[in-house]
Amino acid sequence: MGDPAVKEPGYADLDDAALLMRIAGGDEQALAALYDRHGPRAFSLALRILGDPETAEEVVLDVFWSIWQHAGTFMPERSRFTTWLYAMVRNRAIDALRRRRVRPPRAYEIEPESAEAAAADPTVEALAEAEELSRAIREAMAALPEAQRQVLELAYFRGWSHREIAEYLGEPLGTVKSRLHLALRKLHDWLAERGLFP
Amino acid sequence: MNAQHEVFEEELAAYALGTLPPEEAAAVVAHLAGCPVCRETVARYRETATALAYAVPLRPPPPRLKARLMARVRRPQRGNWQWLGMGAALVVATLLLTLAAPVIFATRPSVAPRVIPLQGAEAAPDAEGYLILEDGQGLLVTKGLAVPPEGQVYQVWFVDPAERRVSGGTFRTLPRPYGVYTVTVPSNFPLYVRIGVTIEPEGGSPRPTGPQVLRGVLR
Repeated sequence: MGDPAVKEPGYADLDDAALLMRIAGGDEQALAALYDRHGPRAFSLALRILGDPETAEEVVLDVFWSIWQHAGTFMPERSRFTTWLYAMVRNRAIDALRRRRVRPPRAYEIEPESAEAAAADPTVEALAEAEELSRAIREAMAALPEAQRQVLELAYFRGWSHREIAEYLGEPLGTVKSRLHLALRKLHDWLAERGLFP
Repeated sequence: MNAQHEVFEEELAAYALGTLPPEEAAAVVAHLAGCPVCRETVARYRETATALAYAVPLRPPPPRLKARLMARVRRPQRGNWQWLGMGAALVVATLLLTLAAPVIFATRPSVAPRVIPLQGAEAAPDAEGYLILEDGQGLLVTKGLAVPPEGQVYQVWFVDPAERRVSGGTFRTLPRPYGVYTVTVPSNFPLYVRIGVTIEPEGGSPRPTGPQVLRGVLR
């Protein structure tokens, strides 16, 4: 049972809220199943922010450990698990980035659809949904004006404040704020039109 | 949506992304407390921000990540206090019974573990608890400590005669009558004279900043 390569049988059909309930009750296999489902993307996000796989590993370990300890405090009616998860990963990765002064990676480049199936192995349905969302968000990002995409990336992947972004770009604060707002709103509308949310 | 909310939306988008400086964020939080429309807007922007996590190319984590996580989970933890030794486990069981019923048990096993009673402090006058120490390891048993507000945790402090404080770790309570939490005991433990528990922001603080919920005298 300790073999990390073995996927947890039987849990793949339970949704995140059901897994969290079991985790709150001390079910280790439910935690393993939740990790199988979301771990790879959590790691990828941390890696994108940090550029360093060792620190990304520590962040993800830390986040899933917190999930293990605080699963009982999650309220599914108030938010989705993935919103909670990726917010935690992003916040801790940015904290680690600031603490370690790790050089952030070069500007994000939109990748063509690659063989993502190799990395994650959730239910067939969940995989299709994740792929659809990935495709849509990448299209949405590509459709943004360059100036708006840049501001959004700096805010999301580096955790910079308006002031820091404005200084870096040599732009007025008001311009940065409004670009960020427009970018986020366009993404929201793009996803909403396609009936998609994480 | 009226004009006031339109103008404010830039702030909400920034708040959802975490790019606002503390003063502006505080102003948004104050507004949100009384405005369900804006709370809904922030929730939608947060969901949108979450989608950005899906824009990232997927990279497989190293297999040892899962192994490390599961190894940590399987180590004896909160709720499973066999690691403390039979003596302390008996003491904990006795104390939980003591907290549950007003009758004080006449006999207690005479064992090495030290038991320090804790009283409710100003932020939780009805709380009570015990710190149990054995072999440099600590357990905190609490009764009547509410679930801390979102984004906050409880933090344990050891205080020396010069009022210097060292953290014994943080914990969050669940909505249950009692809780048992591991405490990190400082290696120079005999130096400390008091113990306290305060409310701190999630992740803990280097020094106590929040109100106190429990206190006790060590020596």
